[in-house]
Amino acid sequence: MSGGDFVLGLGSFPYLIFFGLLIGGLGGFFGVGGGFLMVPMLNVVFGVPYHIAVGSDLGQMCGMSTAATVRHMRFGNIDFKLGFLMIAGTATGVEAGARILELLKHAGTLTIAGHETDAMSLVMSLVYAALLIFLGQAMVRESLRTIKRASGRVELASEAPASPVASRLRTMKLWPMVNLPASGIEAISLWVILAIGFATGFLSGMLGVGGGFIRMPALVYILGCPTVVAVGTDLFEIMFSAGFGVFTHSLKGNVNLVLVLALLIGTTVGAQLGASYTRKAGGPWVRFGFGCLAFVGVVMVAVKLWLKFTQG
Amino acid sequence: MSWLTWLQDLGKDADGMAPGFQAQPEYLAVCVLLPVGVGLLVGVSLRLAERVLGVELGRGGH
Repeated sequence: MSGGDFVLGLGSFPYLIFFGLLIGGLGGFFGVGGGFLMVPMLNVVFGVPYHIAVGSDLGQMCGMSTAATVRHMRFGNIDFKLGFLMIAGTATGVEAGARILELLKHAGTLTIAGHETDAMSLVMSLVYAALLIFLGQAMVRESLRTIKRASGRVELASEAPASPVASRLRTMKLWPMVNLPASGIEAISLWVILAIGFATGFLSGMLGVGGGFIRMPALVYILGCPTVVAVGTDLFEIMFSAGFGVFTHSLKGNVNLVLVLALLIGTTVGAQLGASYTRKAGGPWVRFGFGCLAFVGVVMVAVKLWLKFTQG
Repeated sequence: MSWLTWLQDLGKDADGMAPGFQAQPEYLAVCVLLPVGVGLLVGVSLRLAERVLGVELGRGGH
């Protein structure tokens, strides 16, 4: 199946802008990218095949993160040395993820219990359902903990401690060691930086997500970056991984330019609107709402998969 | 809608006889330049708007 096989009707352009507005608004409101909702919902609501949804979402994400990085540069919170070092791992990861998706695209159909379904839809739906469950429960648990803290039922902790694995990775003396003055890090193994880049790049290339939910905690707890630097560097890294991702997916015919344009228009406006409303609402209840929204996404993906499985 | 049709046509297979998808050079260029261009335009516009209006706008998701 090549990219040319999927034709998006131009009549759906305004609906896609509205869809981008909605997802961008939610992303802005909840302070996240929304990529993990964008791809499965494009498949569920508009019937966009997963490989086209991933490639086109990376295009949208490339534009959004470029705009955000341009704005963030004035704060001077980007560790460019760390960002450029991580790029090698990120690029390898993006390419590996894109190739796995390419394998799935050409994997054909599977017959399970007498029902035929295409392998890519089955695998990607299951992976997305797992991802949404993971993110949803993490967000709900974190927000409930914060609500309990605020009501005085749980003691306040200054900051979550790094896990033993994170501490071991941070102190690992595997040559070559690099120092990152902008982040206040004296010495860290280059392999740790590359591994973080690879893991998040892989998720971007295969699933079309920014990977901030892994990169951000990794930068803070494994590398020991200050949170503000982690935010800026994460944006820089998303811009690169999405840029490289859209390029490699375009080589494979997985980018629909009409879809990219519609999503870009919708999400850039929606993100601004969402972000301005979050100031009024704010707080842990917003994150709780987001966690619940992820579970709604799981149900939608499951229903679509079930219908596809039973009705062909 | 002609520019939308143009965008859609760019995604067509450059060589239908060759195995797999054969990207056209223009398609590859637009795939990268369109999002980067829009992103730069939006980012710079928002920074200008913040400077002129003297307010900090919401930062959005990414």
